[in-house]
Amino acid sequence: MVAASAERSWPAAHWRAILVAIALVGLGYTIVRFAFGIGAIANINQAYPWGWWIGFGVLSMIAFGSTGFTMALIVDIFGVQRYAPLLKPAILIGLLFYTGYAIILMIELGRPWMGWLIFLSWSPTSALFEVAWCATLYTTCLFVEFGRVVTKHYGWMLIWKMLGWIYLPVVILGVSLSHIHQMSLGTLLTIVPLKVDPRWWSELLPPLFLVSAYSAGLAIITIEHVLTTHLTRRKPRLDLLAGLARGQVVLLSIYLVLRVADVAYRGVADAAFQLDWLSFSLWVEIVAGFLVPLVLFSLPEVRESRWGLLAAASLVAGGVLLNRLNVAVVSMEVKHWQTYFPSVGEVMTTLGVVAAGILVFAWAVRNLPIHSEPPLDDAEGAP
Amino acid sequence: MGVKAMIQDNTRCIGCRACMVACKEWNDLPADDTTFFSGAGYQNPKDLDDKNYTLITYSENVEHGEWVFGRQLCMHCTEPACVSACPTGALSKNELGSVDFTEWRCIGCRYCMQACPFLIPKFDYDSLFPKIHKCTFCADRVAADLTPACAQVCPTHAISFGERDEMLAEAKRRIASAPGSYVPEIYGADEVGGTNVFHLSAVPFADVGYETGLPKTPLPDLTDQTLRFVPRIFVTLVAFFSLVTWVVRRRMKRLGIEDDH
Ligand code: SF4
Ligand code: SF4
Repeated sequence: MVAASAERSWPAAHWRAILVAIALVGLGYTIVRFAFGIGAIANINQAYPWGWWIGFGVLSMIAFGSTGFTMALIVDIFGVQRYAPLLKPAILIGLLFYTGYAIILMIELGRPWMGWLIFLSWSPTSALFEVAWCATLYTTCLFVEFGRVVTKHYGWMLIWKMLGWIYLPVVILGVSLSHIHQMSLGTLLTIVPLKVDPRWWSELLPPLFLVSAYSAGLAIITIEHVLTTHLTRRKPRLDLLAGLARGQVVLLSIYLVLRVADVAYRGVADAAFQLDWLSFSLWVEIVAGFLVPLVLFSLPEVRESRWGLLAAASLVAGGVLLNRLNVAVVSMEVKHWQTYFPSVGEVMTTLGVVAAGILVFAWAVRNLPIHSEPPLDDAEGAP
Repeated sequence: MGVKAMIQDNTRCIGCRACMVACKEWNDLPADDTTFFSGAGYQNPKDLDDKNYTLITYSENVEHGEWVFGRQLCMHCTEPACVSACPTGALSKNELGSVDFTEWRCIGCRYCMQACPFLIPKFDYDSLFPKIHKCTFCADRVAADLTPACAQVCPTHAISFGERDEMLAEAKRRIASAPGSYVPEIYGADEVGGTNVFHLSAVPFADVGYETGLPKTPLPDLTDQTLRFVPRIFVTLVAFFSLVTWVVRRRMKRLGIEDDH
């Protein structure tokens, strides 16, 4: 009973108030943006056309949204049914991240009212064209996948049955679309070999983005599972998270080997040891975001502790975020007098979208069968 | 009409900026407030922006003990990165070889700004109806058999305009006939696979604020080598995942495992 009531009142009133406040501030900035123009709230400029909105709102959010396709790949395609308890939250989180990215893109685009034109154009040479198409189609797939949960819960059995018929084809389509647009996000910046610092620019950006997207997806699922089960006082499935952690060891190793081999192959290792801010940013990204979590995930003690898993997964999420920011913003070489630093407005609009996403997620956890783990009993659950 | 090109002969430039004024007039661009800038040289304004489609850069050259000038404008690349990047075809190459911007097609994603190796396309962030701004090569004037406004106005004939082959030959001729006055390089002849603006200079281009070290091959090749494979990768993935799903489901059925969600 404890769990049920904990779940009903989650998140606690003051948290709810804070999240609503953040979302409202973001909404306020959005209104200012549409009333007075992008320049009124953002610092992006003639030298830095892409900033926080692209680095966080698009590149990182889509990477975080990999939850949906990584878990669908494991459970539905490879049929490892053991992980099924992680699938529903993964699809919902993916859906929320993709919706969030679309909202931020509408704020970020200079002429969002023309956005539909992408779908009536034919520009196969543009990585952005490819990303827009695949991300939109994939979001539709996520709606179908999550539609199964909603229709079943509310007893709309006919729709549920119909969605069931197309479910597997949609999953296969969605997972395939995800692979190619996660790669194409890396392709976006391969067109400017001299503007992206050689420490990041590489022809391998597409596969690097894909491998780190898998890691980001598994990391976000781990974070979600530890936090949600804790806050709603359910029993965390540490056995499953430990399995994901073992997967992370493999993924992070592949990623690091690719990164190091790539830097060595392109002969820019010297640059990586240069003493400047870019190298600092590079090393924080590599060490804190990929190497340390690799070590943590390979320790059995960490794999058995939910807080250890949470810490390691958070480092991965932070590492992927920093990597995307480094590639698209930090490493941009422009004239030395041109600068950019995200404005409060840019950050608050994205945080507003994230806060709104958390509120929707919490609502779904309270009202839909997202989590099925048994509640903790009193003794165990006493904080 | 064939492909047109321009010569920007910086050795003849006296920094009068008549080209900047003529460009503003022809394109109906507003004046702007500028402040003193001593970053690289002393040009004013310091960078191209949505109100300035061309810019004469000023650099103090200690070795030569004098001012040297350079010019920024759209290079009208033969295989433009901006055109290949634009997801909606708002940027396109026309039969004169220059790169056109079609306002209504633009979604304001600014990928062209990110993709251009010469940092040319600019955006009016303060507008409610923003769009991309860049040199048009005066396509409208050229279509009417006029030369671009900047070429027309230049008092020292530092800017020449004509058929691309002729311009390239002329640029080579100038370097050959006065080897002492020029660095032996035509900037733009084969940068990123060739452009339609050829810059000549008396001092190394790097010293006049040009983007040097650019590859000699077209930049769109770099994204193309990945994007070209996307349809094939997609089909392969769909086939592979379908096969795996089918095999796995068959096994699950045989073992009597329920798919329970
Ligand atoms: S200079 Fe830049 S804007 Fe002009 S055609 Fe080349 S890539 Fe496009
Ligand atoms: S900003 Fe406009 S012109 Fe530039 S790439 Fe985007 S849609 Fe094309």
